[in-house]
Amino acid sequence: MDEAIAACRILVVDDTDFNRTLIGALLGEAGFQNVAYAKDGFDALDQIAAEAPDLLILDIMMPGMDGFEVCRRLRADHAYADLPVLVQTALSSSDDRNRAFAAGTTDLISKPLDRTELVARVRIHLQNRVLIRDLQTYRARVEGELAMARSMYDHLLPSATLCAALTDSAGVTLRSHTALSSDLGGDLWGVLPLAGGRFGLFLLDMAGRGVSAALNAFRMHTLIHELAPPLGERPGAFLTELNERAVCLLELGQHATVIYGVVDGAAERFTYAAAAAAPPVLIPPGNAPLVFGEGAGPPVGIAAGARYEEHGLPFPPDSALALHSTAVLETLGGRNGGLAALLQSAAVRNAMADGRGGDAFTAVTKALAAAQGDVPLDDHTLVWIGHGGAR
Amino acid sequence: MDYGIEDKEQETLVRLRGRLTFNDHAKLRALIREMLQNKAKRQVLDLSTLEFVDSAGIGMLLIAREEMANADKQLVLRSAAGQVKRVLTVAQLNKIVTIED
Repeated sequence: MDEAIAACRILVVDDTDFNRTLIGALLGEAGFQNVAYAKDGFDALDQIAAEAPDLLILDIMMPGMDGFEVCRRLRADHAYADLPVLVQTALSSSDDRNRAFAAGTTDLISKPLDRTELVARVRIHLQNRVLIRDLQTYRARVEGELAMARSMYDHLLPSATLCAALTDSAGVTLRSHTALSSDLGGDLWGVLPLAGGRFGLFLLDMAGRGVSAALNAFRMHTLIHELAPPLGERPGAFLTELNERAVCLLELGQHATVIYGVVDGAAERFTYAAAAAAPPVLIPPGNAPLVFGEGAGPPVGIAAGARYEEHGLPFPPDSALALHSTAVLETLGGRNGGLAALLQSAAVRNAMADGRGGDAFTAVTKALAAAQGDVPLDDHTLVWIGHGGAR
Repeated sequence: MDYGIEDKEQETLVRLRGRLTFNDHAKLRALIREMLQNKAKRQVLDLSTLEFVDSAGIGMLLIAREEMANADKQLVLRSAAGQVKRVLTVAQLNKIVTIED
């Protein structure tokens, strides 16, 4: 017998000395090493409270508190809701058996006791218990590690301090909304401060989900920061080189969609390159129509030799730029329809017109949160860059 | 996602249906094995009834292309529509895989 099962604690509850001795002898002979005894219902509940057993063998007919009542009280307590309870019974009518099950019995053992049946039923229920306990332990471990990975992930995202520093040096306001799916996705965004009050901004979505996507996002994060000093000023060259490095690093079937651009508040321009990313959107001041940028390009990490072109969007004072992952488009529905309609809604445009960029952003994230539900199926990232007045 | 395979004279036609996502990894692996065992040189994936593909799905199509190339076969993506067509276009996959209307 499996050691873990042999060591399980079994509590035998019976008011007859002879029965307790008999059951104990049968279990001991079968190899169970941890058997305890209670002489009635009250004694049983006391002992269970002192040290919870892994399985209970319970007599029904006992003076004071009968087996049905012991069972009901155990089931009413959440801590013992899944404790296996085997009821030994001479009750042969199906009504009585049903009554035992209604009280919360796991299984029945018929009286007079049969050695083989007793040992077989005890073993089966303990096996289940050990199996479930192993799974629960494993699950708790995986959940713990995912939570840890998630907090490391959160650490990669730009801090509030960094965003505030950019507000001062670049004259823009950065706001972001990220919602990670339950099993970690591969969304990541960040900023690379540049000279002259400008900064680079990237938004990356790793293909796939789960731990492998998160690990690859970490690798890409390292690559991006390595490339920042030499190429941060030139988005096209930046993505082209990022792709060359990523092709060597990533397996086939793993790739990333990326947009990288330089935000230049003074020159009123956003210069960027894209690799199969969702197109950036400019929300101009006043009631001018939205301007959609270009998102097309081969994803990063598939084929060496891809070249990425530079595009530009105007970035006048009092406007805002919205960069987002494709999951945002899917959640809001339609190609650019759902997002465009949202950005053109009265709530967003009025807030922009009054110089309340924060309110405009809040209106967008509220609608997004409502559409994606509590735990989104995929990572969602929205980065909102307000220029000057549109803070 | 599920699929149906039709053997024609010159090519094998595989019709994909539903949504091709991260969860279909094992299924697409099985499909690739079937396609490799097939004699036809041209392996056509008909995407007309495919409603949705995510980034992991694109990755799996690229794995299929590579596996076919290794076995001296050609992978063709045909008749993509809607969201699937947009994703293929945005990712400029026509530079890597043969795409037919």
